[in-house]
Amino acid sequence: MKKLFWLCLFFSYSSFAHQPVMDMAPRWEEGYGFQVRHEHYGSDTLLDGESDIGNPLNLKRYVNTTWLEGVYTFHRSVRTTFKLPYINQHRTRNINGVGVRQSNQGLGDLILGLPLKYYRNKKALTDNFSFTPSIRLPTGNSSGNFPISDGSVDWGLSFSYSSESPKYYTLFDLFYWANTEGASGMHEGDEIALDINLGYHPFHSNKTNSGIFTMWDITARYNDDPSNETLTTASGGQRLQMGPVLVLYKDNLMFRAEYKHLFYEETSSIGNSRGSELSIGIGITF
Amino acid sequence: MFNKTIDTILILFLYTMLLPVFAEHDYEEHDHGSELEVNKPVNTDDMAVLPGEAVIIVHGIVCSFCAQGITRNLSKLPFINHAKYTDGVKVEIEKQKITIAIKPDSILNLHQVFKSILKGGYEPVEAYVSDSNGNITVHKAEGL
Repeated sequence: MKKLFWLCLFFSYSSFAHQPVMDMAPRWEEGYGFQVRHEHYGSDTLLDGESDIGNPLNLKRYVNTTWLEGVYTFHRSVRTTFKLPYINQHRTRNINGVGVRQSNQGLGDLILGLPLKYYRNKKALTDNFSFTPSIRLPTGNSSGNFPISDGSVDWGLSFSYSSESPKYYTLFDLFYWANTEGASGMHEGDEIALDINLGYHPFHSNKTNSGIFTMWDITARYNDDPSNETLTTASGGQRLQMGPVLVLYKDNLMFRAEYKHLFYEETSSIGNSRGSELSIGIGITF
Repeated sequence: MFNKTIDTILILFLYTMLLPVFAEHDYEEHDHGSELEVNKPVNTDDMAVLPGEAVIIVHGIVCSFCAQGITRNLSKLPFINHAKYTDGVKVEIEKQKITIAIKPDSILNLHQVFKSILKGGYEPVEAYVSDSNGNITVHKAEGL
């Protein structure tokens, strides 16, 4: 944990912003874009700390989220973003020694962001530093035995740095979510995470204005322990995920597919592993 | 396992921090436009500009997906010839170069061109314009 903390601190000198559609677009004034992205994660592996402890009750947790994301650019230095999830989740919990299936679906919490960017355009390179305050509003349902939201207003802050040349792209994004107490004593615990994207641009056609973009995504995340009353998917611990990202683009359309393999995970109590993640999305800018 | 992974990230981070340095070095070796004077005829084979066209050097333009705003802004200008390229505009990200086609018998307004590029999120540096005889003049993007 201590090493992860120092790693985050080290990277925070050069870190990042969370931007739907893409970090780089739209950077033109009055530009806007939308992205629909589907994300899947889940596992039936039961962990106690770092150890797989076996799972005779077949306890599991799977979450499917479809995100509608949007961005509007007032000026290349000032943007506003939204992210609205639709969540379909189910799990099997140990209740008095019996595996009980629980499920829920519906709209989740709306996230609004205000990316503020400082751009530097050089000869064959463009880079930017970003500072993004965010707020998460409790638009999701917080009732039931497996609520989608904890019903709280949460605050986020992201620092990022990204640079891009015709061939290479890098993004470092350090973000923090201060999760406040919501309905029925639920408190999901604060989160800190580091995202690193290392990108390579193997092909671009000037004639068709289309190309392929590949990235290697690295995510390190630490989550404080949620309160005992918390019934959402939140869980305490830390994890490290990495995986490839493929982006195809043509004119103002962009398709993105991403797989994040779980390389390391440590839970703060007995619980299901997060598992690996798969995400596909399509975005458009105007 | 965890410590090895962290060390790998650190190495990758240091490596990628050097990538922009390499990228800029590559460009320096091919930058033939920096010694040109303002509004003077240009005698260079490296900057090919066809009659009825202008070529603009733009700093930072390394991604065509991100440069759509420039293309859109430029194509709205009244003197752009939409019959050529994509709505009269060609972006070459490898050379940080934009070519615009000019309508016959219309007057090119370079100030509007430079402003459109700036509003698109990038820095115009200079424009190379060819007259009907094929003489090329260079115009610096200043005072925007």
